[in-house]
Amino acid sequence: MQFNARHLRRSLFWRITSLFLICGTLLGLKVEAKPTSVSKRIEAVQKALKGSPSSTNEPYLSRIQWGNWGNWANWNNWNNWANWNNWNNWGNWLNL
Amino acid sequence: MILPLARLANSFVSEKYRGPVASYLELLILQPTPFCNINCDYCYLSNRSVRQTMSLETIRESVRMVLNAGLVGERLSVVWHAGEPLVLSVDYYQEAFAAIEEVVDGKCEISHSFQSNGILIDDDWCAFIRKHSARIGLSIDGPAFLHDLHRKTRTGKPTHAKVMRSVEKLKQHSIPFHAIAVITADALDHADAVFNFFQNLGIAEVGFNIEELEGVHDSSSMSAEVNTDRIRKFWQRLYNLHEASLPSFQIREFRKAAAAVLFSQARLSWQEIAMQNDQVLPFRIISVDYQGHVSTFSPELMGVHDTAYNDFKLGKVGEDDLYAIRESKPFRKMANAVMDGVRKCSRTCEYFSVCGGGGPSNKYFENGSFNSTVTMYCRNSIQLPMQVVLTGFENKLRIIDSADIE
Repeated sequence: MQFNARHLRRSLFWRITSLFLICGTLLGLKVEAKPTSVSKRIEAVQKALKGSPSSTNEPYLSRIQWGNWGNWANWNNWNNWANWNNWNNWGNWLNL
Repeated sequence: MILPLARLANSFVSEKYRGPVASYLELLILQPTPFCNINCDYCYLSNRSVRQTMSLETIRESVRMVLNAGLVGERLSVVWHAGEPLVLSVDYYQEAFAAIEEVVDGKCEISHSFQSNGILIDDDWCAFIRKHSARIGLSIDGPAFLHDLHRKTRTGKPTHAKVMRSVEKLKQHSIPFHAIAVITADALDHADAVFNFFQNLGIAEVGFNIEELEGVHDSSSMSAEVNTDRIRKFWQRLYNLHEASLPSFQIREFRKAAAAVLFSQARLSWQEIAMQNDQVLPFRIISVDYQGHVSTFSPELMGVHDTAYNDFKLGKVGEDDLYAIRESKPFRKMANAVMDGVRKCSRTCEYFSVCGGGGPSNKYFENGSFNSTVTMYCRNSIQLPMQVVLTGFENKLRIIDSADIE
């Protein structure tokens, strides 16, 4: 009887611990957005650009680097691709 | 037994907004007056005949609110818009700018921007703009035969010639400016004329807003499905002309699409992708109307009546700080709906990795709910330019399997 109670407690302890470990691992893992046909095509372009000579990249980059308005220096940080220039954002939503 | 308890628990939990909020402010939109001196037939502003102005105290309180919330870093970007800002005098802005500087007290750099219909720009305005290094954008729809179809005075007269006089003034004073053009169905077959006009205008960039359904503008010449192919051809023609001529100006939609192709990362969580979209992240953009009411997400929601969201008035400067606004019921309801809509986009839209969840105001006006997905704006202004630019990259890089994007 005593053995059974101890066994039960141990068993419960490990079950709960395992559950926490599994849940924690799952929560800790980043759930990436599903690849789409567009994102796959973009990845292919990015891959091709990476392997191509800089002369192939330059026309694209120079198009994006135009700097009359300043404050575009962050263009190479992808996090800023949508908002590296304040006035662009302002123009992005404007509907006049 | 369990189900009712779960529902009860959920009713408490669902009241809270558990999504992300901005850690910095991108834009503070101030509506100095809702009044506009012209009457474009596609305008979304409902109160553009109201002549009231934002008080200096409201301006001060607006800036205090964002500073106290810790949302301002090295720069505070103020945009004067949502009406025609230049109907107010240069003196008004002298005082307004001074009031903002006084509140900021050197803690950060301040940049001012105006979006104007360009009718009233004169030498005094040019001197003021130069003195303060303010940015200015003009609303021009292209050549006169297109512009004057929709952008008319309150007595129905054309405005193109007046805008072009302002363009000359800006050039005389060496003030750089950009343009925003609304593209209606009338312009779709005139891509060459539109492109040539902006190429000759001497601007840094033009953004093309494909006519949308927003605010009081509840019907669009672009609504009919039949136009999609015409819109695609319009973008394609602009792209071909732009590529062929290597002009000095940028086309906003192509630049954005190209930047997304080069730098976007699909292998992120949907939340991380959504955080790139300024319109869906609470307090990344804060709008304050002329009476001091505060709103966030899409600025077009300012002035819209909807009792379910308290007319999108989430609080008032001088009375509520952003912490109180964040806890307010209209904000929580709105923010949850916006974020639910973004999540739906992440599950259903092919373009999510380059968009981040669309425009909340477009979803609201077109689909009747923030908690929804694709809109006309998505199709016409994000997806079609992306298709054109991405295919352009693929053709140049000779990536063979460039199947059509649907």
